[in-house]
Amino acid sequence: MSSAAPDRNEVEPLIETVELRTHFRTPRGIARAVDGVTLQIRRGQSLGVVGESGSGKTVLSRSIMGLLPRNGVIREGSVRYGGEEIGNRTPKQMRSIWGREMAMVFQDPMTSLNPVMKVGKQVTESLRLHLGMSSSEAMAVAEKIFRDVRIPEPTRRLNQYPHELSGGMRQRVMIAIALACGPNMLFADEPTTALDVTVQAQILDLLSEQIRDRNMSMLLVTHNLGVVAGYTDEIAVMYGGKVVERAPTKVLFSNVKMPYTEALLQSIPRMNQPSHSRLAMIPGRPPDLVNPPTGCRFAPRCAYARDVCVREEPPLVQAETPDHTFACHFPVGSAEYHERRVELNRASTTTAEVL
Amino acid sequence: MKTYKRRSGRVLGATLASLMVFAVACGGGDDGGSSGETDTTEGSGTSEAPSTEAPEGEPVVGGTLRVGLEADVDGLNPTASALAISGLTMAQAVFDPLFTFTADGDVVPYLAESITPNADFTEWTLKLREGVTFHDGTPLTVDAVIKQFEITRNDPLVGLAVRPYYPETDAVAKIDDLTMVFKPLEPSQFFPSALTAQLGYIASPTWLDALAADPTLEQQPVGTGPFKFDSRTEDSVTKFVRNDDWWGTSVMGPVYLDAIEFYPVPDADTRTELLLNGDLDILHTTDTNQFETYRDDSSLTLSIDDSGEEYFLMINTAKAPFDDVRVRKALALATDRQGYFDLFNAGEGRLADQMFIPESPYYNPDVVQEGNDPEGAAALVAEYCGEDPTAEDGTALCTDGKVNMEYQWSGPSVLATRIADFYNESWSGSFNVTFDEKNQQDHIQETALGIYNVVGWRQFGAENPGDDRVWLECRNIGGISLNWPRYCSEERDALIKEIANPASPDERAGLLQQLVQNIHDSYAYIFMTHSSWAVVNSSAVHGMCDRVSPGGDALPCSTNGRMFFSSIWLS
Amino acid sequence: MRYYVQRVALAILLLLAVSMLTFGALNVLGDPLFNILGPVAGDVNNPDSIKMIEVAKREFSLDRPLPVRYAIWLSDFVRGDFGVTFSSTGQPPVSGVISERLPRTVTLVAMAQFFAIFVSIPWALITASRAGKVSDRISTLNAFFLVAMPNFALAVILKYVFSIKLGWMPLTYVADDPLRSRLFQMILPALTIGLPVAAVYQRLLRTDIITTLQQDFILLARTKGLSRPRILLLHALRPSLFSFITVVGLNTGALIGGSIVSETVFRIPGIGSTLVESVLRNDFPVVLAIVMIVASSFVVINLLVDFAYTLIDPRVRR
Ligand SMILES: Nc1ncnc2c1ncn2[C@@H]1O[C@H](COP(=O)(O)OP(=O)(O)OP(=O)(O)O)[C@@H](O)[C@H]1O
Ligand SMILES: [Mg+2]
Repeated sequence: MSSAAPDRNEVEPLIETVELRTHFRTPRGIARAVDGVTLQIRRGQSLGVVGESGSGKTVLSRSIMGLLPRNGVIREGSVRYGGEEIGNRTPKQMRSIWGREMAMVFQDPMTSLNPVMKVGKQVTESLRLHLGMSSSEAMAVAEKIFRDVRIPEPTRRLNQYPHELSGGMRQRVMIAIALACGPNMLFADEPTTALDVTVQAQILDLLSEQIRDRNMSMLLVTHNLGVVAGYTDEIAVMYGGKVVERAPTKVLFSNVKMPYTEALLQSIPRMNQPSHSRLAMIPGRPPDLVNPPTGCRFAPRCAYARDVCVREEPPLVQAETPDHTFACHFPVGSAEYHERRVELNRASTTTAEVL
Repeated sequence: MKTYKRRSGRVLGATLASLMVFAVACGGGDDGGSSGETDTTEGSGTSEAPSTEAPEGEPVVGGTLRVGLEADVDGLNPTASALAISGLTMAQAVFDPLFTFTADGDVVPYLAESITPNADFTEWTLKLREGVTFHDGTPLTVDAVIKQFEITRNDPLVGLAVRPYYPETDAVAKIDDLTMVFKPLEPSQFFPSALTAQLGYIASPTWLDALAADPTLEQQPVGTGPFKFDSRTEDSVTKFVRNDDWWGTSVMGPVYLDAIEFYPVPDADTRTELLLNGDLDILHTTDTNQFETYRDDSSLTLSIDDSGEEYFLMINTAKAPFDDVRVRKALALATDRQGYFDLFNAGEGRLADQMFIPESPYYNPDVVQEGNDPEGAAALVAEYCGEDPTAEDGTALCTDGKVNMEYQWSGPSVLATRIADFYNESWSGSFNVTFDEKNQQDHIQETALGIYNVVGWRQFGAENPGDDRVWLECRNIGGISLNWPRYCSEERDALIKEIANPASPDERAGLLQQLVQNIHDSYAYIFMTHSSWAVVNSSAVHGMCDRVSPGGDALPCSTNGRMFFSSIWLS
Repeated sequence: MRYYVQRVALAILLLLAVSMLTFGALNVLGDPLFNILGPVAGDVNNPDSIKMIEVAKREFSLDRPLPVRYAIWLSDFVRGDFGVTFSSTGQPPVSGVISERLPRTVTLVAMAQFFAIFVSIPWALITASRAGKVSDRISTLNAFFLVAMPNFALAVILKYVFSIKLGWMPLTYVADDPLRSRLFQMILPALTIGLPVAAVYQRLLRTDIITTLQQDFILLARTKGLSRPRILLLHALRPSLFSFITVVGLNTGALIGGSIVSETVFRIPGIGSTLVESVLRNDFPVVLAIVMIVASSFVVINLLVDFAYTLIDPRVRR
């Protein structure tokens, strides 16, 4: 939202990754879930990470935060937080950052809250740990945060268990937990997918409002481009573990370059449509991360792909619009793209006539 | 096998001489650790002299003696409880017997002041000590003795072995408060030995009355003894404290111990460990495997006594094929006695030829228990089976030239089963052996009712050897036979009667030797080993052998596992 | 509420069934007369013996038909009268035997359960947090070893090591000692039956904790910056306790079974050793009383387990 940031080059990024790779050792071989991602998030900025299921969004956010287990995971590249390298820190060393500097909101508030602990305790836990508050102080703060995230009757809610709250209310609790210690960086991994459509917007509004009020940065993971549209400053589109297009939100929507991004845009569920029409799915399957296709990873599913796409991996290039990069041989708007487009239209009309 | 025995073998009876308890070697292992059943034993023939502690300074008053027993008792009621060695040991701390055996084997008055027979030994006039009171304050009079006698005689179990020896009426008569008469059925020179143990432990009549109303009181005995009942938890610990008003103090010296605690520990290893750890001061055991351990420890004093019971195989002579003496003899010949001894006796104890040990004046050197002669056995069996004998119901008694028989023991027990296998091996040349493992109740029951061929048994431990008559006389054959082999010999009964009659010691020895010969010739028992009892005490225990009778005779330090406490002191 | 009424009714039915079965089985399988009369019981040709047998039968109601005897027993039992022991005097009363011995067994079983729980929980937490590492594998081996070892073997080993070799622990139990020493004397017997059960609990709890550790809320707890022990104790343990509690309840039976061995080896006069003795002696009233007590405690404990769920999981509360 607040794209009114001043000169971007002046502000040091809060989070920066350079060629971040996160690979899993699996029985089949090495799965390249995140494969060389470079991105920056400046203070007060929100980055939306979009992509199909399995494209590596969750792994990316957890890898940045250092939450992945160390067994069977290969992590390379650099992660800097406030200019300091944190990519090589142990979980023990990360503990002072977690909760206090960085926090995460999970996808499913049903499973992400401890079912046998009163929510008040779950909120105050980190307050007491990081800020050394007494339990009554922490309770007071928790109540205030509950009010901030617009939980009605906060005093009573604090004494309730998760199962006594509705899904939306639980997600508010999650947000309250994340916000408790006033972190600088918030990771929100599909914070609304598990919620009722009517609640989704409320939660996102709340999130972005809090981000703005507290001058926090956010990495918002979603597979729904529609969601990020209103709530982020920048968008990174992921496919097969790589960032394939990246641009300020407004720019991206006005000037899509990747056919993949375009396909994602077409699959945005409309709020006014019945929910079963939600996904105009992209045909084909996401790439195998153990044996990724050569060349462009999207090529096997891309209607506009040509021989070169299968042979050569397209480099990340600058688009004509500012701060906009993408990796495609024949981006939307190119001559080849149009040529293929016409053919496709014709084909589909023919099919329609036949039918 | 050791643990669950306490309540099982119930009392059967008392003889004229001493109350007897079912002597069931736990499945037949004589020394391998059976528990809780024997009777009084002979004081005269200790094979290893109990090492009397050299007088180590002056006795001191005080302290609690902790005694390890091989079993607990059901109760401490002399009129009804099964008093085995453990029970007798406990009983003699609270009760005083009317008479007692001296170290020389004579019977002398103890709680009684005197006893006088009439000319033909059919009436015995007993005089009690004056001024004795029970722990509950009741004064001792002959009423107590009479009451106790009648209750005992009417007890369905204990009375079994008393009833045959007294007339139904006028068996006892009061003369005055301290004088009474016993009138046994038959004359016996040794009548007082009947009053040295269970029948002679006089309990408070007040307590016996209370007991009739509340039998739980049998856990809290009231006698006249050197110690009084303090507390008791069955299967765990029983505590007696010194009776400061004991009548014996003035005639036999002071009682030193403040208290005695009895710990029934059926597992012999554990009992030993407790002694070695200092958790016990003294214990008794029949587990020969432990003897070496005791010898190795210089701080322990060990005394072994095998003058008491014998372990033997017992044959039912009333039932075919063993109604034929040739078959009984064949079984004896076939038995590998030496092998048994080598295998199961851990190098301790000795083989028995008869009911007396060689040191006994009654030992008959001419009587040798046959065994280890398979050829001899085969010859006898061949002769017997050649006659094609059949049982009453027509079944053949022999198969393939071998005699069919059954060996019964009480189980389940690993040791007993091994012993059965062992016997089978030595018998199988001439016998087709069927194994019959029974639970202990049925084992006792069937032995008493004569539904058996061959069993392992322990018995013949009376201190006065004539008192073993209960197992031997024709009159004790019946539905329930205390004469388990059901062997009746008029000649033997006559001998037994004669033994009870007045005679010079030499005559008496001669008669007993004849009895031994008679028993041998019946081939109803195959004597295996003399059972050994060990009493072991730590170096803190003194004065065990300083006991004297009221008349000043030296009393035995211990008798076949029975311990006595009135003279013990602790350093 | 209705649920609990149903549960209790079911429990009573169950206990009735148990008592009927036990009563029937005992009376079919054994003859208590021997314990009352000795060999006289079998001496059926002797008029004197027959008279004694008849008297005893009348006295102990053995002449009545089985259902009548059951009815008599049951009506006495529910009124708290457990009957008389089958001994020559009918003494001591069964309730006397039970009231003297039951507390010891209860203490033993409670202590064993206490050890089992408080050994298994930290053990499970530690191994679950190191699942798959060497220490976890060694512990798995240990657990299997403990589970596989017969109770009496463990008893003997514990006794040998701690009482005989090291001399730290007393060898046997002494009922007259002061309470503190008695509790001390119960430690080894309780460990004897508690350790194998602890191993069972540990296996189960470890698996459940590992499953819980994969839950999202554990990850959330991590993102709060909580330390590992804190997460294990405050977040992972409680939600992992469900099957644990069920098994704790069910295992009370196993502990009572184990107490028979332990009481025997360590000379504790409790109901376990009494049960064995009474079975061997055909002392039915004692056997029945003990069976009923064990069965009732089993039922009650499992009701308590139901209740414990609600303590652990607020979602079950109604
Ligand atoms: N621990 C792991 N071991 C092996 N492979 C893993 C592991 N975690 C994730 N992956 C793989 O990494 C890839 C990326 O997973 P990730 O969860 O990041 O996808 P995503 O983009 O978040 O998808 P979704 O929208 O479904 O959440 C997937 O193919 C997944 O199978
Ligand atoms: Mg995801």
